Amino acid sequence: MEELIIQQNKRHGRLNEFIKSVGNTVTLGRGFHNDVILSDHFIAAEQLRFDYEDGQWVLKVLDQTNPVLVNNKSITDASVVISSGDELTVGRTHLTLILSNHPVERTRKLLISNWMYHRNLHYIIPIIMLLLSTILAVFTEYQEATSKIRWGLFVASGLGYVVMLLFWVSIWSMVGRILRHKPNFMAQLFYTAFFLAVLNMGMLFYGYTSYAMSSEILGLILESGFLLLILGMMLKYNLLFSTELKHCSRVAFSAVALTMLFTFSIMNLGKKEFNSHPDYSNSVKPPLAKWSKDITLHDYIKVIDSQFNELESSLKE
Amino acid sequence: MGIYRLVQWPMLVLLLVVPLQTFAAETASQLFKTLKQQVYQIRIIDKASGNKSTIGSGFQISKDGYLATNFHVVSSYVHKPDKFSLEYVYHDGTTGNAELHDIDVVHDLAILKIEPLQDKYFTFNLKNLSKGERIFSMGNPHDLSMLIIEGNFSGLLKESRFKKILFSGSLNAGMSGGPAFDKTGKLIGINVSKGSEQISFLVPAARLDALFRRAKKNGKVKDFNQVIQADLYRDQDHFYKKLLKKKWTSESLGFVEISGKLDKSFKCWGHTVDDEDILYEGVHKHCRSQDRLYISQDMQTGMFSYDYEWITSRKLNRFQFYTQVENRFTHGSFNNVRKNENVTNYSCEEKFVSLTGHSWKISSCIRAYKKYKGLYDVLLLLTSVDENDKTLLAKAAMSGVSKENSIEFIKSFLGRIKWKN
Repeated sequence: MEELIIQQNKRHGRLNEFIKSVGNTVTLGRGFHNDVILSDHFIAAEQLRFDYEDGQWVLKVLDQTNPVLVNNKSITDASVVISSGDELTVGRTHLTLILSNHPVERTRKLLISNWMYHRNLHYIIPIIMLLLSTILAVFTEYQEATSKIRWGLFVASGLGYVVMLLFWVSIWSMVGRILRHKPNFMAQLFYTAFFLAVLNMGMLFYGYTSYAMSSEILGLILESGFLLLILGMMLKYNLLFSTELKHCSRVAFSAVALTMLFTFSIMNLGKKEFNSHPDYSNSVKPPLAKWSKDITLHDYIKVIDSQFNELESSLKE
Repeated sequence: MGIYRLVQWPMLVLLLVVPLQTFAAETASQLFKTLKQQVYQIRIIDKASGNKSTIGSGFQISKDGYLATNFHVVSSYVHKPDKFSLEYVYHDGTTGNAELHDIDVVHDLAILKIEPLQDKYFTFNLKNLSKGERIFSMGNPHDLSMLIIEGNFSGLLKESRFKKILFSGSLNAGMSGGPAFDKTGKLIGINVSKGSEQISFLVPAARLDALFRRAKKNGKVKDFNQVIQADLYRDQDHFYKKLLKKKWTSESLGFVEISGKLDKSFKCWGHTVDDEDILYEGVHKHCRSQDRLYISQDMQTGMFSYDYEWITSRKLNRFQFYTQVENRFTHGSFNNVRKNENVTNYSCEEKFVSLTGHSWKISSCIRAYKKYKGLYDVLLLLTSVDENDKTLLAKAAMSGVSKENSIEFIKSFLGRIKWKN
C-alpha cells in the first residue's frame, strides 16, 4: 500500500515539510483532533478526509464553507481520486499530494570546486578575482581617457564598480538565503567578478570587429553574441548558487536574450522614421585593427556614384 | 574773450548740424507722404481660421498692379496653396486678394499682382550709390503701423556670393519685402533681413528688375516647385563650376598640405588645442560660406563648409589616441531640414581608401531632395588611419548640390590633400 504524503510549501532542505499517512485514513482541518492540523481561518475544523479505498487514495470534502481546489479546479463531486503530484488548495493553504511510489528525479551533481570548501582559499580566491575585475574595469576606462589622466577619478570609479558588484552579489546571496538557506556569497562573488572581468576585457575591443570587417551588422552580431554569452554565463552561476532551478542555463540565457531584445526593440521602435542626422559607422581604431584593404580614389568615386544612383531609384519608387 | 574762443567752435558745429538734421527729417516725412500709397502690407491668411499667419511688406512696381515682396513672406503660400491665401492691405486699410506670379528663392524675391488701386509705383535706380549716401526704408514692423526709417548705404556685403546691400538702419520683423529707396524716392533695394542692431541687408533692385522682366515675359507661374528647382539648380551649378574652375591655393597643416580659402566670400577660422591638461595637440581650420537659401520654415539650403584638423599626440597611447580621433569623427551638419516631406534619410557608406600614400577611412552620407529633383545634401568625412600618433581629419558639407558637382568637388577636395613625407 502506498502511503499518502502531504507536502506544505516547497522549501528545499527543510525537514518538517512532509507529513506521511499512518493507516488508511488521514484527516485534515483546523481542529486539534485531526492528523494534519492547519492553523488557517479559512479551513473548517473538519475540512478533508483522505481514505485508502480499493488501492487508491480518495479525497472527501467534509465542509463546504469554502471551495476546495484540486489542480486549480473546484471539487464538485463528493469524493475525488488522488493522483500523485496533485496540487491541493484549501482555504489559503496550498499543499501537494504525493504517493509514496512517486518517482524522484535523478540526483543532481553538485558544482564542487575544492577551493570553495577550503578554509582560506574560500576567501582569498574570490577577493583576488574581485581585485582583478576592478583593475580591468579601471584599465578599460584608462584606455578611453583622452584628456587629462585623473587617477583620483579612476580610483573613485573603481570603488563604484566594487560597490555595484558587491550589491549584485549580495542580492543573489539574499535570494540564496531564502531559497536555499545558504547565501554562497563567496562563490557568487567569484563567478560574478570573473565574468565581469571577461566582459571588461571584451569592452576594450568594443567596435573593433565592425571596424576590422568594415561591417556594422557583423560587428553588431558579434558584439551582441559576446554580451549574451558572458551575461548569460554570469546569470547562470548566480541562479545555480541561489535557486533550485532545474535548467539554470536555459533560464539565464533566455532572460538575457529577452532583455537584450527588449532593449534593442525599445531603442529601435523609438527611433523616428525621419532622421535629419546621418547614421554612419564612426568607429576609428588604431592601425593594428585594420584588416580591410584600401580601395583607390577612382573606385571610391564609383561607390559615391552608386550611392547617388540608389537614392535616385529609391525616390522613383 | 577766452570763454568766447572756447564755445565758438562747438557753437558753429551745432549751427551746422541742427539744420542738417531738420532737413533729413523733412525729407523722410515728405518721402513718406509721397510714397505711402505705393507700399502695402502683405498677409498670408490661414484659410481654416481666417486669420493672418505671416505678415510682411510689399510695394507697387508698375502701373498695372504688380507688387514686389520677399519670397520668405509668401513661402508658406507657395508650399501649401490649399491651406493659405494671399492678401494685401492698402495704407488706408483697404484689403484685397493678391495673386502670386513669380518667385526667386535664390535672391528671396516674389512678384504679386493685384487689381491696382492707384497708378503710382516705384521706379528703379540701378546705378551704384556711394558709401554713406542717405537711404530710406519703409515697411510695417510687427503689424504696428507703416513707417519709414533712415540709414546709410554702406556698400555691398563682401562675405556672400550674392550681392546684398548693407544698410545701416534697423529693419524689424514685418518690414521684410518693403522698399528701400534713395532721397529721390527711387528704389535701390528690397528689405530682406537684419544682421545686428544697426545693420540690415537689402536685395539690390537689379535682382528685382531681372525677376520682374521674367515675370512679365513668362506670365504667372503654374508650378512653383519647378521654378524653385530650376533656380536652385542653376545657382549651385554656377557656384560649384566657378569654385572648381579656380586654381585652389594650398596651405600647410602639420605634415599635410590642404586647400586654402577657396572663395573670398567664405569666412575661415582657425584655432589650436594645446593645453597642458589635454594630452593631444590639435590644429583646426574651417571655412564656411555665409549664405543660406530660405525655402520654407522647415528647409534651408545652399550652405557649404569644409574643415581640417591635424591631431597629434606623444602622451596618449595608440588606443587612447584613436579613441580621441573616434570622438571627433563626426560629420559636419547644417541641421537645415526638419521634415521628411522635403528630403530622404541620409544614405551612408564607409570605405578604406588609399590617398597620398596613406590609408584613410572615408564616410560619405547623401540625401536627396524630394521636391527638387537632382539636388542633394552631401557630407564627406575622412581621417587617416595608419599612424599611431598623428592624423588629419577632414570634412566637407554641401547642401543643395547636384550629383556631378558634388563628385567633382569631392575629387578635387581629396586630390588636394598631400602628405608631405
